[in-house]
Amino acid sequence: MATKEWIAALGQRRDTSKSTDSLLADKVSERERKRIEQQEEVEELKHKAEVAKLKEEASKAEIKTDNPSGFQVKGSIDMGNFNIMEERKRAEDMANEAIGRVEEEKKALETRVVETEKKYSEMRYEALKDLFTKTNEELTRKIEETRKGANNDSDIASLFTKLETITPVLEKMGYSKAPATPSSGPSEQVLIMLKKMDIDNARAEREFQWKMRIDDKEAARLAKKDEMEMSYKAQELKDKKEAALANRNMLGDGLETIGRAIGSAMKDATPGGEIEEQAPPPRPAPRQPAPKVKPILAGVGEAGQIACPSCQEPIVIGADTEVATCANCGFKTPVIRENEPEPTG
Amino acid sequence: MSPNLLDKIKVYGSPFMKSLVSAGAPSVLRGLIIEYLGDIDIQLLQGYVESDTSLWSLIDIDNQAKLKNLCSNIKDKTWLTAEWLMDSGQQRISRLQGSDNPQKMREKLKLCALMSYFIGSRKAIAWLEKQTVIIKSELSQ
Repeated sequence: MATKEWIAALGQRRDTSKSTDSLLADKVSERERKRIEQQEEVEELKHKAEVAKLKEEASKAEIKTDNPSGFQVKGSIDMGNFNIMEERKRAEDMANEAIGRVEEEKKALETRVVETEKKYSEMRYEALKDLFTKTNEELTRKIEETRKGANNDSDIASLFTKLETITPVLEKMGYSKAPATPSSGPSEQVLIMLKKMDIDNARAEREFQWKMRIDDKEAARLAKKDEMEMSYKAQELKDKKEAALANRNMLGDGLETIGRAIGSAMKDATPGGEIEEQAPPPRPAPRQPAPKVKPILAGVGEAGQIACPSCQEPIVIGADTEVATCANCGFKTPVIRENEPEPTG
Repeated sequence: MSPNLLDKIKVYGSPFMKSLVSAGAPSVLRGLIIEYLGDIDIQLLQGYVESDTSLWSLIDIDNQAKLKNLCSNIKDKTWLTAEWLMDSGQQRISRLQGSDNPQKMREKLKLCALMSYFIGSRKAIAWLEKQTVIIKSELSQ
């Protein structure tokens, strides 16, 4: 039975025309097979003998057990030395070693991930840069073309046509909200970047507006401060001027009085003349609101004197006076000569 | 007081007084002329204007000499113009405004009549300008 198994394991001989080496190899394998078969047979016989021996011993033992007064078999089995701590330590070492290997592999993988991400970011940056550069170039080219076209052709319709060609480019740049077309539009990452740029721009705009408001407030404050300082200085100068004028008038009044005294002395033929008592002039009526202007009718070359309609002070009308003006209040009255036509309006 | 100090005062006092007179002369002369003009009757003045009578000739010779002596230290007399005189009259009127003094009220009435005449009449203001030129030339001699 064992022989057949070996034959099945090794396979049938094949009678084919082969080379010497192969024949030699076949011979060797056949001899080896026979040797193995013989060894197997020997071992099988030994096994059978041992089995028979054991059966015989077992039968004898059964006989002994059946007969308590018989002999008793004693023996022991050596299980060997088994050190739990050593085994545990060894197992821990192996586990640590395995963990270390796993950690190293993990670190190596993480390093690779970081490098890959870095490379991916660089590639993405390069891609975005290329995209923006191309878009910019395209936009510049379109603008140049449009400008040239606008210079050459002043037709508004052609300008609108050019504008339509620019519009998609502007939409790509994010200047208008165009519907995203997955086939031709920018990728999601680019859109996110553009959106982020929009948000940044809006924030910068808000900050700019805020700073502008602060600057405006500061400028208004400084202007107000300057204005106050200027008004203060102006008031100060005005006060100084008024003080100087008052001083000058005071001095002038004094000198003028001297002059008037000299003039009065010169006029008086009698030195140390007596002071004649004179009746005071009539007190002028209190000032009233300016009356309606009524022209004065006079003859040609006629002169005279009237009372001012406003302040009742005397107004002298000369022979050639056309407008009688009060020296006290400045009220003006036209003088119409009799042979002149009355002015209309 | 030491003699040196007196000498110094004499040295520096004369030009100081001259400059003081020179600075104050316009005011003195203004008062003098206004006093003269204020004393002239307005109808008489109108007659002077119509007949082109010289104002300087109306002043006595003695007074003319005094005036010349007064203005001898005044080198610059460019300020003596009709406009300056009109401005002086207006200032005098404004100063007399609201005064209860009878003399000042009378003076104000006269000045108002005089100034209104000069303001309204071209002939009168031309006469006044001529008189200022004459007076200026006389005082400069």
